[in-house]
Order: sequence, then structure tokens, then C-alpha cells
Amino acid sequence: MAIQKGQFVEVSWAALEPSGRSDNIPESTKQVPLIARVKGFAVETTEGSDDISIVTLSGRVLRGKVCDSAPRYSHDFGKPQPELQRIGPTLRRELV
Amino acid sequence: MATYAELVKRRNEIMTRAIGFDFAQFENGGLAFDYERMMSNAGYSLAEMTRIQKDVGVGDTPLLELRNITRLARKFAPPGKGARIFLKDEASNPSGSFKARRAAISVYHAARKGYKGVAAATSGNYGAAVASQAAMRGLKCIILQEVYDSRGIGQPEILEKGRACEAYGAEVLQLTVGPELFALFLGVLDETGFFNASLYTPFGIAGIETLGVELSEQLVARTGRNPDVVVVTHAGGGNVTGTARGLQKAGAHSTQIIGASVDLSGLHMASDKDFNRKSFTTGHTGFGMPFTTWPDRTDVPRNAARSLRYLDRYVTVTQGEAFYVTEMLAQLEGLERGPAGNIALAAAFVLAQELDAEQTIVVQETEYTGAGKHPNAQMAFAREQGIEVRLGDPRDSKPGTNIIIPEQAEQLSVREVNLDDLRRSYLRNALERKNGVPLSEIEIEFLCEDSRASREFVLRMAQGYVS
Repeated sequence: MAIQKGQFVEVSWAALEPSGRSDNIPESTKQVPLIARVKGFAVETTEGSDDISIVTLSGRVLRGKVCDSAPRYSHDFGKPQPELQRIGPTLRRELV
Repeated sequence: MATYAELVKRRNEIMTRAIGFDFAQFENGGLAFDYERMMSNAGYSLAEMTRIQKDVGVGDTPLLELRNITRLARKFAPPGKGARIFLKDEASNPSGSFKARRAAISVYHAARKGYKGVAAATSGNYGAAVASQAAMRGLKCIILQEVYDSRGIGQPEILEKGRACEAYGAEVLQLTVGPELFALFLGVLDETGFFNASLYTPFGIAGIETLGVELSEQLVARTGRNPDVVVVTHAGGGNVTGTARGLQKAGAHSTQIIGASVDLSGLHMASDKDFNRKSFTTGHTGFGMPFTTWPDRTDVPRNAARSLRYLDRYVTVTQGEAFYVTEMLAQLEGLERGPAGNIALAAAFVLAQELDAEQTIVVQETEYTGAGKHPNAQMAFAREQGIEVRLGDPRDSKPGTNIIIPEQAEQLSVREVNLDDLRRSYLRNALERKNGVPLSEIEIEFLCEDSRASREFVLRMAQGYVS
């Protein structure tokens, strides 16, 4: 996948492999690598899926594999929850 | 970057340079150190902090009376009971939480000392607070967060906080679950030379004292008296410590300080499996218990947040109850605020019913709400993770398995945490570090102050540890 110089992307890398993890953590955590992710602007145009360099928002240059070429804030306001929707009407009746 | 092990070995050297503060000068031998001298030497005066915060639009937040919620509480309370419930709207701070008070002082300090940037390891509102203050002072900022589990699923509330940090121009390093985040943080400090805007420095904690002072001044202005009770969300202990110290400095010596946490017992905080099975990432027992029973577990040599000195009572509420009161606050008082900032409100609604109607109880904070934070978002996320979400009796709550939303407001309650049990845990943690060596007189006095226990209590615990 081609990344243009200056394109805002997210990269990731393994900060710690499972073998390098701390001793006193639960098994489920010890078995997986510690992955780091950060966003920044691609330093140069690149093709392929190797590590690239990015400039972060604090001005550091970091390297990683592109995990998202067009980052989006996908967290949202969820869905209306029926267990919550009944609270307002119920309490307003109490206060009448 | 140096290896994990190398960084941990050099932690004292890295931290000393990153905080620019000599903690060693307050040590009194062994377990003891001079806490009050550390706080008065390292902190800025109340007047200085008020000025620093005012300069950046922090503090002096509104105190709101929750008249409808008070009326509701009185319906369920015995005759003559049901204290007036007040709310300190800390969400109105820049960056949306009381954390701005801590960040304002920390970042001011960093700028004054000539650091080019600030860094903090936090998945909470503190990151955005630091980023916002760094933007105001023209400093660079790096925030490290623990966000994702090994499947790459991010806790929505933490994603929102990361977004906020980036909105203020901060670099946000997002990690999967693991306490090794601390070693990476050491690496960032080592590489950049940035200031460690730790949550637990004396100036950070002291920054919250202005909140306590405002509470006293505002209540006296409104009611003629200091508040009878202040309920403070409790996690790492900074909130309780700073607020209590501020109230004391304002002369509110008979105000009762009650800490409140969401109960997450049974969930392991370093577990990849458990990480996304909780709906609260702060203000919970996963921090509240360990930090109360051993404050000096932080990234600074001595933690300025020492909650056992200040807690008069400590209660817990369930996740579902916090979501319930969040909805109640929006629907009955027209205030839409984040659920983590309403943990103390959930407790206060119940505690108000124990107090007389003429008394006053203050909820010490609110936080802003947004995508990811909102109860709708958290409950939808919980359902997706296989958590059972339903109406019912909050006493059937099992953290990590279900979220139970009360059917009636009368079902809200608080669970008491036995402070003497926590004192015993604290003293056990302290005595273990003595390796059988008897306590000195200075250490005994220190332990009495630090755990707010009598001499007899401390000596009785010590007897079990001397060979």
C-alpha cells in the first residue's frame, strides 16, 4: 500500500515480545506481546508494507508498520439503553 | 531504546532528572520521611497556586445545588433526614475535569524549570489536562496510555481521552495491557529529557488544595457554614489528599471526608483478559485499595497522595449505580456529565439520607462527558464484550460478569470499607520492608501519622514482625 509523504497514519510495533515480559503478570498478559501504537506524518513516500518513519505530534521521529493508513476516531455515543431510558420518566413521577 | 531491564535499573536516576526535585532530603531513616515538610517545601503556597490556576482559567468552578435530587433523596429518607446535596462542577475546567488543577501546577513548574516538554503515563483525564496546559505554556507533550487488549479492542473511554490529548497537540503513545508501560515511560523520559508530570508529585497534589478551599468558601457563602460531608472519588488518593488538605487550610476541621470508589473486586488490573470487562478505568477499587495500603508504589520516590491520613470513611458503589445516577443527573438536573465523575454522586445520594435535612453534603467533582465516556457507549461496549447488562438489584452485581442497573432509586446503597482493615494492610506492607529489624521511634510516629492509627494499634501489628 502506498503512503504519501506527509500522510497522517498510525504505526505499530512490538515494544516487548512475550519472552521479554514482566514476571509477575497474569498468564493471559504474559503470552502476548506488548504492542505500541502512535500516529504521525509519514517522513517520505513509500510503497509496500515495511516499517516507515513518521513524525509524531511532539516532533519525534518513530518507526513502525502502518496499522492504519487513514486513522479515524471510531468511538461513539453507543446506543440508547432501555435500562437507562426508564429512569427519567420514573423519577419525574416520584417528584410530582 | 535501552532494554526494559536496563531502564528499570536506572529508574531512580531517570526520575531524579525528570522531576528535578530532591526527595531524599525529607527522609528520616527507614520507613519515615517528613511529609509535611515535603509538602510545604515542594509545593507552591495556596496564594501562588490560586494565581497560577487563575492565569490559565483553572479553578473557581461553580457550586451547584441539586434541588431535585435532594427532594428525591428526602422522599426515601426517614422524616427529618435528607441533607442538601451540592455539586462542584469541575467539568467546567479547561480539559473538563479537576485534573486541570494538578496539571496547571505541574506544567507551570516544568516551564519555570526550563523543561522543553512534559510527559505523563495516564489513561485518564489527567493526560488531557497535561496536554491542555502544555499547549497553553508552549511545551511539547507526550502521553502514554494503556488502551488496547491483545485483540486490538480499545476501551472507548480511553480512546476518547487519547483523542482529546491529540486535539491539544500531544503525541499519544497507546499500548496494550501491561505494567511494563512504566518502563516504556522511563524510556521516553530518558530519550526526550521531558519533565515527568506525575500525578503524585507534591505540587500536583497541592494543586487540588484550591478545590478544598473553594468548597469551604462557597458553602459558607451559601449556607453560613462549612460543609458537613464532602464525598470524593477515590483511586490513587490525590483527590482525597488535596481536597482534605484544602478544607483544613480553610478551617473546615469538622467536615467529614468520605472516599467513594466503584467496586471492581475480582478483576485483575494487569490482565489482558479482564481489561475490557470493566466499564470504569479510574475511580475504582483496583487503584483505591492498593494505593491506600501502600502509597509509595508510584513513579516518584515518595507519593504525596496519602489517603489514609485523610479518609474518615471509605465506601464503594457498583458500576450500574454510577450509570444510574449519571442518567438521574441529566434527567432531573439538566446536567450531562461523565459517569466516572459521578461515582461520588452515587454515594452522596445514599449518604445524604443518613444526614439531617439541615446538613449539607458536597459531591466534590464532575467530569465532562463525550463519545466513549457516555453510559450509552460504555453499556453498549459491555454488551459487545459479553457482559450481561440488565435491570435488577445492585447487590447481585459481579464486576466483569454483569452490570446491574437499579430498578428503583431506593435500591441504591453504599458498601462500607473497613478502614482499620486497610490500616492493618498498610502496616503489614510497611513492616514487611523492615525484614525483622525493629521500628525506630521516628518510624513508629511516622506510621501513626501515615495510617492515622494509635500507637497501640501500630505496636500491636509490629509485634508480629519482630523475630
